[in-house]
Amino acid sequence: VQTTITGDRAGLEGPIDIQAVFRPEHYQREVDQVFRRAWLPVSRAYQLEKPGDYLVKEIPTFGASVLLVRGKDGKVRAFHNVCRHRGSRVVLDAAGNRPAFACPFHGWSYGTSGELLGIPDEDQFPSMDKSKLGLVPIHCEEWEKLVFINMADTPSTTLAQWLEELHGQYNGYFDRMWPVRSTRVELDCNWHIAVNAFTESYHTLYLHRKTTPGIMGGDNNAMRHLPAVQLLEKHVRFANPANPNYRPTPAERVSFQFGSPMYPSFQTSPDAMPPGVNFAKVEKWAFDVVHLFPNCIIVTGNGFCFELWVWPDGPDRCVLESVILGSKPKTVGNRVAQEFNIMRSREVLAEDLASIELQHKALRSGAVKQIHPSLQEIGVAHHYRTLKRMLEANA
Amino acid sequence: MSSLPEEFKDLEPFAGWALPTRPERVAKLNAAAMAEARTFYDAMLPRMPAVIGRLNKHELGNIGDEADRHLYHLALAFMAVAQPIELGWDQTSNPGSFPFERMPFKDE
Repeated sequence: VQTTITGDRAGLEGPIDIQAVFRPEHYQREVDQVFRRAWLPVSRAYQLEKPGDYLVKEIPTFGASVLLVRGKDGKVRAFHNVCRHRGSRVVLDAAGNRPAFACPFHGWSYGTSGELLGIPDEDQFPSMDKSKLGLVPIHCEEWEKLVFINMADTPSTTLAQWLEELHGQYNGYFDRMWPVRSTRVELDCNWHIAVNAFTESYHTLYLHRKTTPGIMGGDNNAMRHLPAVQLLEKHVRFANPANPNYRPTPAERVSFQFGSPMYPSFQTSPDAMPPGVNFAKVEKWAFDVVHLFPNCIIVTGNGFCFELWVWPDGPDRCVLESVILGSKPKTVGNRVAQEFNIMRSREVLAEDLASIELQHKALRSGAVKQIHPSLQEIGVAHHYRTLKRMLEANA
Repeated sequence: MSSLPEEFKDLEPFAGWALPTRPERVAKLNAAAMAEARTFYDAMLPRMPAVIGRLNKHELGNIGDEADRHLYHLALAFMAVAQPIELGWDQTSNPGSFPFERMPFKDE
């Protein structure tokens, strides 16, 4: 199988100098010139269905606590979770539903649109303009049940522009999805190294040989060549080949007799899916990987989805969050079936995480100055090209 | 460890696997010898359709009956044990892999 690569391939060949990303001053430029200028997905909107629903997201990259809340008008907004009075933390729990938020320090209260509602003993602030002291807002937009923020004072693009042609191609796909399980892991690893581990499938042949043997590729594509890669200006996505001869194991067969098939089984039948899912219309398709630059990877399959976020926390640390989405279980049997997927995907992710911490440590010795991605790993090269372009554009 | 429904008395020797949380089930698996895991797997596999058939009489998230709740946890433990068995490992954990304690998988 030959890989069809579409999009601009300029500058994607040859080795990549890797040591720069570990330098503190380079890291700081990444935070200021990339992360603070990007539209970043921060959360699924499942916990934000009704007016007053809120959740608090800690983002180590910015040292920020971000309050996401759905207002009475149905719009999701994002605010810094910091009181305008003396700068205390306003919301201390992780999620819930409230009509208003009272700061625990002196009881200043804010509405779900961020407005300052009440000040105890207000007369004692004689020269203060209360109307200007709402929670500090962060630009926030929703797309396909995913909530994005942009930390810039004035974002240079709309979210729709940022997402390029992905924007219109996933209509309704996530409406049928339900979070099955999630995890949050602190890693001793640079964020690029973590992201790069999930934007190529070459590693699945060897690293995952003990956890997902035979699920992809097959006799006619033993090296699991990607049928299609699409390089966008900032983002990249690629289709992965199912193995048509893969035989589910007995517990897997029992599971998916009682629930919708999920990874490591693939439903390749052409269900009604929006055009972005199996974007290349590949026969014997397993799933697509979509890398939303800079730090989010979404694996879109038929009936299942993985999402990964990598939040930089200095040049040598990151926080990785991962969610599996699937059909909302309706019966106990559906739930038991999903446990098969949960346990298997845990083993696969555990191999990735162990591997990237080791890789980070090895690279940090400085012994190797360059890395050498193959054509199958063009998503890795593309990541560094987008990084370079954004650093230059926002210098 | 209390018992399973009458219909599943044959699985009673494995009632110790009926642990309510995922960390407990994974810890039990990782501490077990391969032979012990395989015995449990072999006993459960042919019974799984009947197990799920019985559990499906309950509303999801609301298994009031204690014996059936044990059966549910046993079914979840089976899905954990199935991994090393069906992947053909020679031990119940994957050497060198990332530790479960650092990567808890929460149910949503």
